[in-house]
Amino acid sequence: MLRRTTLISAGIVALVISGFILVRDRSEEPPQDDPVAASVGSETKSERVPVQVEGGGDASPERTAVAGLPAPQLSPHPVDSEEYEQWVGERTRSLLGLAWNEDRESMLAILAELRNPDSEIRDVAIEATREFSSRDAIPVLRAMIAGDATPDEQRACKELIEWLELPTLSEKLMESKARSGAAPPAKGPEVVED
Amino acid sequence: MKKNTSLLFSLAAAILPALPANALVEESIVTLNGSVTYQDIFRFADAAGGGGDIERTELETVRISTKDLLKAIAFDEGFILPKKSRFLFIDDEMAKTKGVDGGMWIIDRDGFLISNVSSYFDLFFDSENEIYGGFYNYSNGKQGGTALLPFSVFLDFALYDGRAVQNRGLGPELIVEVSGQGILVEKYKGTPRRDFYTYTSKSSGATNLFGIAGSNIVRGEGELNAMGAVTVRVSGKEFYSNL
Repeated sequence: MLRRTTLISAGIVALVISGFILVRDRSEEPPQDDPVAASVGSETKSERVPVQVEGGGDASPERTAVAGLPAPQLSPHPVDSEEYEQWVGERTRSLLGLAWNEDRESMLAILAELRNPDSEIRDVAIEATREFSSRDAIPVLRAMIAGDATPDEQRACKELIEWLELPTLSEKLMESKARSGAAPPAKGPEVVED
Repeated sequence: MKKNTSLLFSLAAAILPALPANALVEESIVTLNGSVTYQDIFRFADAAGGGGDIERTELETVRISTKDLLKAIAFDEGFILPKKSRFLFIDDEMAKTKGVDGGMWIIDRDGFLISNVSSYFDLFFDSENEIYGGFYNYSNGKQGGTALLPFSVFLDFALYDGRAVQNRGLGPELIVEVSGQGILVEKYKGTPRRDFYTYTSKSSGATNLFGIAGSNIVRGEGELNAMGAVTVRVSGKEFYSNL
């Protein structure tokens, strides 16, 4: 009788523990049917995203996401292969091509490559950021510094911020014209879509 | 010192003597990024002593970038800059072929010439003193390698009475007149096609700049008050007829 009671009690305890574990696990799962909530969560949280390290870069294998910044593009080819070299060449052309655009997506695509594990791509990204030449990059660069930027990345970001904050030649020209009493232009130098 | 032969053609022609005299199409897109720091220096005449006091302003730095340089020149020249305009360098050989002046041009996204802006910004390549090394495959005509090419860069802005003119002699309100010399490192590659031989290159080089800049330059001959540095990149592509 005592043995039977003990078995029943042990069974009840096991059931209670299993139920508790099941309920706890379910409560930790992200909502599967609420993409809006999921996306908001991903923007507000510092999310660890896996970054495949290739090219002998010194970047950490996991990086803290910066809001709006895509992950750097990585080569599918092994480092030191001819295909890898070709890929770097194509990526270089692509980034320097993006630098001629004026849209935010192009700017973010360039800035993302400042975190590329390949140092050659990072150097091209620095040049492309200068080529893009927009002060809109400054808040993103600051967010990258506040994130988990490596010392090299931090130095690059700081130098870019310092450079972007400088007055430009065209601003100096307009300032000089305004000071000289010549009719100042209603807005900056005109650039039109053709 | 101005380069008389094409930057790209000179290398190809050295390796491939059978190449025609002129490339059929040339694209030498130029970018330039850096900064120039300057300080206005005032001299006050001392009538009694014949000398004068010198007063220096705070250092000022101006950002130089390709896009801004394009805007500044268009603004100064008074033309509307189409989006995605670029700088194209046309060497003397190509200038003869095209029937235009050589030097630096602003082109639109389709490659049409808008304005020759060599008086504001120009490059000179010293091809007489270039050195290069690489390979040439006689079986398939492919070639590739690295070349080192001395170059000079000139930037020249002067603003008088709210208007830029290239003549000197008056007290300018703003002047940026700097130049420098550096080495362009060029990675080149030649590939034979069915009807054409294509020659592509990517070159970049950094140079320090020296000259004068500011709003009130009163100084003796040869005195400088502006120093800076820029990175120059030249992306080239040429097509030579095999026919």
